[in-house]
Amino acid sequence: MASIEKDKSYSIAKSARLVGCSVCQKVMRMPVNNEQADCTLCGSRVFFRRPNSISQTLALVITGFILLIPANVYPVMTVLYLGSESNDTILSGVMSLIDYGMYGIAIIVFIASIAVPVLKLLGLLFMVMIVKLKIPLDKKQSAQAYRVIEIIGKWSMLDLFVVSILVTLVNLDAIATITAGIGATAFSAVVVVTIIAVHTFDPRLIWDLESTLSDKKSS
Amino acid sequence: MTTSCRNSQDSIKNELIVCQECDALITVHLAQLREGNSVSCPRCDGHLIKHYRNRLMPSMLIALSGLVLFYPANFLPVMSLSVLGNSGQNTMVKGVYQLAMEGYWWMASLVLFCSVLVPLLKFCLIFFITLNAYLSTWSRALMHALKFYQKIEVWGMLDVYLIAILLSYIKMSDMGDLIVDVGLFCFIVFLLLDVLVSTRFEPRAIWRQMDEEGRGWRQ
Repeated sequence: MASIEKDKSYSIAKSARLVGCSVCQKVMRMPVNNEQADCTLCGSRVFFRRPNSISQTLALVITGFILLIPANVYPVMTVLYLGSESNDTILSGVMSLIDYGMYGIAIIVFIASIAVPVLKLLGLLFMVMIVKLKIPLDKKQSAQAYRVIEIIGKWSMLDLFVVSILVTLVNLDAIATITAGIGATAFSAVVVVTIIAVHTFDPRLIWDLESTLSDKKSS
Repeated sequence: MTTSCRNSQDSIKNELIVCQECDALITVHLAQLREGNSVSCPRCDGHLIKHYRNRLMPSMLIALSGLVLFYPANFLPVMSLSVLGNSGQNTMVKGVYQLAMEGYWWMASLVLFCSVLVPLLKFCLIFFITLNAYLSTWSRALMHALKFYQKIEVWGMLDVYLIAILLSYIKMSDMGDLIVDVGLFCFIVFLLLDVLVSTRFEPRAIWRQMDEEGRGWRQ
């Protein structure tokens, strides 16, 4: 009772001059001598491959790496507790959590605000390199890695939401106040840039390598 | 009447779907699919069909309940902290307001967009779309709504916000008296409704239905 047949060779839509709309999934024939057209069902622009996908992704990834510097150097929040002021950067926030013995939260914050953004940017850079340098990797695994990058992206917003909760919760005039810092602005920019970068990257480019590689072998 | 007519069409119908992740052409035998079934691409494991022919009524009702819960979940206090008689209260919207007051416009608008506006818009759009699709009134407005929904879907981050509430609770619990308020329970139900409706509502199913009835962008 399988609804699809599994075979080892798949026909590629582009070679059949067919294209599937990314919005409504309608399959249509691309007009001759054209690389893009308007979808007959939903009116969106359809492409064989996203134009300039690689250069746009690369530009956004570089922007993300540059923004990571102010995001980690400047404080994300300032805590004023009984007259003493302390500035917390992302890393020092994790350190102080470890000092307080809150290892669980320290690990969560570390994963969400340090590991995820860095791994995401490195992962996207790697995807761009796979396509550009034609690195012969297992395509299914690369596709899986891309999907993981896509899913984990939004979790970097965790620390920013925590800041937005704490600024209202700890607003106790003379005793304690928490205010946001410049680092938080830079960090939120990193998150937005990486989320956009994931969506400008066209995963079909990875799979295109498979056909070009096998063509070379057979010729 | 209309459903039985459609079922008889299905029994002979095979649909050609182009995988959006690897560009493979896959023939799906629709006759062997039951309501709610999902189909993934045999080449790259990407989603081809998320929920086949899901009923619209439950999604419509979930969206409606979400809209009812919007006010209490966003405007009632989630937590309050009191230290030596002074107290601070947190609501979803107040966090945004406080950030904007401190001059962090970019962060305030990002938090507002991801944790308040997108969930609200999602519920509104799903209600509008399912209602129109249920009554089979295909209009330009419906198509715009579908496309808009598909664009903003990725920016909804309620689940991240819930973990942020949890983190701030643990972080601040030894600072003073931390009281969980009624807003939090409304927020959790609001989040559950959001997750539920996002997983079972599939815009592409509406596009497919529109295509079957011979309607489209150019009418």
